[in-house]
Amino acid sequence: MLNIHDLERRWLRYKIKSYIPYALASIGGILVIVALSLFLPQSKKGLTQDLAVESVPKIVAQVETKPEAVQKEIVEVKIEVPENTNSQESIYINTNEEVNTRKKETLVLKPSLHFMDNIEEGISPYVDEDYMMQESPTKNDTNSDSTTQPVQETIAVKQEETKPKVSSLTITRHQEKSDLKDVIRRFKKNKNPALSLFIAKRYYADGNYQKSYNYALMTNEIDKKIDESWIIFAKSLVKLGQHELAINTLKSYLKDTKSSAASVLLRKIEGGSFR
Amino acid sequence: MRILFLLSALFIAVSFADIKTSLYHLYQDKNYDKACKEGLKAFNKHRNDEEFISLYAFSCLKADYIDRLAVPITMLSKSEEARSNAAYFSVILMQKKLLNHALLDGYKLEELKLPTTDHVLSIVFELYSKADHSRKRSHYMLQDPDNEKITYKLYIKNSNHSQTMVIEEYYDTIMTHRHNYW
Repeated sequence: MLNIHDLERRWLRYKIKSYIPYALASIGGILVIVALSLFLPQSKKGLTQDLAVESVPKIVAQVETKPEAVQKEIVEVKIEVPENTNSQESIYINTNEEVNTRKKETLVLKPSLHFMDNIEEGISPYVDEDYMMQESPTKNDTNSDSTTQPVQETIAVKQEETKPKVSSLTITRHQEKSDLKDVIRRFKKNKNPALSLFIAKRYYADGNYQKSYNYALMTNEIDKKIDESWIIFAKSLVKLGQHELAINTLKSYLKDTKSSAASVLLRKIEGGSFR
Repeated sequence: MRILFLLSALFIAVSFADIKTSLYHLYQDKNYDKACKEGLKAFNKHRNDEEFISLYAFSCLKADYIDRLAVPITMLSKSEEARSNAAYFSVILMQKKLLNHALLDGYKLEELKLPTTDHVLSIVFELYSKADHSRKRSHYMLQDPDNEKITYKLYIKNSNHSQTMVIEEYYDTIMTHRHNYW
């Protein structure tokens, strides 16, 4: 006769024993996961806290005389742990000041207009050119005066031969001067900045830099926004030997306006290419 | 044959100089709009001349044709100066696009840290990224950090077929300049 009850009990024990390894393994696994999830963030915090605790006393020791500053330093200490490194040597400590300076140091890009110089060099100054063309015959006249008498005679003969041409030249010369006088007279009456600028340009082309400076100054006083006037003003200053003043003038002008011509001239003066 | 070649070379050189000179004079006379348009017409002929491209790009920048900078950005690469200007233009172009995206679609600019320039778009970009965006506004009044009298008004103008980003510059409540960016 089989003892069924006993057999059933033994079978149950055997079954329970067979499940024990699985149950233990699963419980162990769960415990490991829980432990990892709890331990990992704490371990990171713990590491930083330990480092902070280690680093702070050093700073306090350095600045013991100023308790307020010490407090600030303690608050501002920031630890950066670079990736893939565990060693204490490679940990950098930045104070808040450094972080602030980094924030402030935003890269400012500026336009470069040096290529304008090359373009400008290829362009002839049309105002001066016209004037110089009109001026050249008078210079020849003065040169002819200074030569010896026989040469003067030959020139006189030549002038007689080409009388109409010579007379027209002298007329234009007188007209030029009277024109300028007339413009000056008109400027004194109505104080038009366009006229004073014209006069300043003429005097500059003539090499009379003191007068061109004066008229450019007057133009600037009447109207501060005329580019050309500031340029003639600065150029005249350079010609008068006032390099520093010319540079300062152009710099202060460039603060208010973004004139490319003025910035080109400033670079030329600073670089010594304009004298 | 040789004479013909020399003549054609001379003609090319003269035509090169002419358009660049006229563009330069237009730029110096502050006729930026015309300089940009003239430059665009002659662009293909002078696409290898970096001085021409730079002049064209600066004219378009001053005339508020920011999108036209895209081509010069890609082409300015031979000299150091050209690369520097290309970087300058690309920052402005990017800031314009980001600002437009932020105004139209609510894209957040606070997190971005970009280089800046002296251009009005960069100034407004910086000020807008620091502004309060808790509620949606029809326009933004932004104050210049260096001069308290200068303010910028930034808004989107809706016309029939397009939306335009507008920046108005004010000095003591008087509008001094209006920039329209398509």
